[in-house]
Amino acid sequence: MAGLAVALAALAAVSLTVGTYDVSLPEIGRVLWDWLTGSSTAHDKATVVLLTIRAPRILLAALVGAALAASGAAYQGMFRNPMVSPDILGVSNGAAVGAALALLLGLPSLVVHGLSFVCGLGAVLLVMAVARAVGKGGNTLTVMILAGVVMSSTFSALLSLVKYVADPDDALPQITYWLMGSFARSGNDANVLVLAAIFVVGGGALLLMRWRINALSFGEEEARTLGVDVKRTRTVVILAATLLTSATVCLCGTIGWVGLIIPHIVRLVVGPNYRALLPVSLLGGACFMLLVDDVARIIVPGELPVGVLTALIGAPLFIYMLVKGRKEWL
Amino acid sequence: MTLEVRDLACGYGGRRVVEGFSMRVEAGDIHCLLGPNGVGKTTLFKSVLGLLPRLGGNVLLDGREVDGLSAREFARAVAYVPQAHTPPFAFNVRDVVVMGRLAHLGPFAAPGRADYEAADHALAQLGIGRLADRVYTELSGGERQMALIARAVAQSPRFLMMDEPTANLDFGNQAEVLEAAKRLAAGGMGVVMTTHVPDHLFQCEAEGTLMLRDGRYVKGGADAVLTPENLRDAYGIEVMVLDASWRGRGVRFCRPVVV
Repeated sequence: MAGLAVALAALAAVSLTVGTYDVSLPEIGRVLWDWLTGSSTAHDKATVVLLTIRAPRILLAALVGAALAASGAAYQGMFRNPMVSPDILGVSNGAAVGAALALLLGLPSLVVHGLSFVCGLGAVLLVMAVARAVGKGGNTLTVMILAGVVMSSTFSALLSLVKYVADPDDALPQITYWLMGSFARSGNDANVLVLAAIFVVGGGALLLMRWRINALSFGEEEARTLGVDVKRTRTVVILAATLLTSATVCLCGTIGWVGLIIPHIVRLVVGPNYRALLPVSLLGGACFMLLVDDVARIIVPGELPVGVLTALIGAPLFIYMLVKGRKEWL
Repeated sequence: MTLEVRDLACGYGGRRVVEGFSMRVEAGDIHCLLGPNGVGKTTLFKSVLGLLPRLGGNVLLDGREVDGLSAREFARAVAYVPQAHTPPFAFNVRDVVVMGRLAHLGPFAAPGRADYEAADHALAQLGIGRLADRVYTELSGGERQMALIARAVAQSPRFLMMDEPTANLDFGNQAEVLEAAKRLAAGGMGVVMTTHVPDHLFQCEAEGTLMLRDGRYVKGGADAVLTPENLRDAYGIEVMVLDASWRGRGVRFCRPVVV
């Protein structure tokens, strides 16, 4: 775990050098030192590039990766299924509809983020309410997944509707690019602070619940006889994971794959105990996201949609891990 | 300490499967629940454990209604041993057993060194200390059942509720699980277990309840409960109850007549 933390720091440092404008490592050291000592008066190009463009973008990418991987890991345990991703309850599609609606109406970007976040949360709350109404103390986990699938496809239909009525020369491409996900757009200090705050709350809650998630992965009844308050634990995990995922979608668009694949790969390496699985997934998600973002910036001078690359890099990586990994963990 | 079930009615979605069931288990007792498939043993178990809403009657711990207890408080008094199963994730045995300690920890707390020691102690107590670092899903059925009993022991409850602990186990492992149950009872734990093997009642020298097909319950010691007539009424077949001796000790057993 310590090794992974060092790797993350190293990756972040390397990420600072990557981009169209060449900055050497010593120069980065100078800029960071000036910033730390408060003497960064110089408005030279390196300082501007590093502190206002690259650093926030790197922090944002790392936070997004960590948030998605942590939510995915928690969900996989709670739903007792390693194939579950953080958007299983409809948070991504909900958030996408919120954003698309705001973009359609030409609202300012703060409202786009806000409405997207609220719609993501709302979609999941709706799923929970449906599951409660339909489940009636029965097998609510299955009902919840079904409700999530239904809600997801409903929101995806609404999204298509919004796209259909959107102006094809203006609003439509905006919506499309927004949904593909981007770190460049949202990489500023304010967004980093917002996401960091949400991450502390949601990620912290998941880390505190890690042993309860362990118990839940043995099934609802067993967890209860082990003394776990199943309903409360489940509610906290869903709210925390939804908070995290919704925040990432509203800032950076829908980035699939990370929440599914990273916990899976980590489980192959450290096993299924959330004591290690959760923190390592979190760090692993951050590393993976940075790596993907670096590749995106190296390949194309402008920018590639992050979601496309996570899939293109993640899939072969996953197959490699499957081949190399300890199969008994599967 | 006493676990008492009074006039319990239970079932699914308002349909009553079991009605008017009573049972009293003291610390150190073994109580076997016998009965044909579908008579409601598992339903009864789930209702007592609070996993199914009860349709009537009471479950009392030392005379106190358990309804007021939180899951955590109940788990500190009564532990559940499910049938050996295969969970979707491959935990280490020690990690599985240490989960028994959750009932003694705060809602956000993680097991500490003392809890891992308790887990190791439980494994040693059941004679499976060697399995601690093995992967639970790779164990044999008998080993998995013993690991689940160790988890329940690590929970340090007053009562163990074992749901068909010998199901799907080979001849030898069945005996080992029964011996473990007897040792735990001798150590002061109250044990309630369901079983499909009437002989277990003889082997455990236990009290038992035989649930008959017509909804009656025959209760008492092994000799009173396991008569050819009662077994016929329960299982619908002819059963011989035979006596033998082993090293000078009288042994009684039953055997269904297969023609």
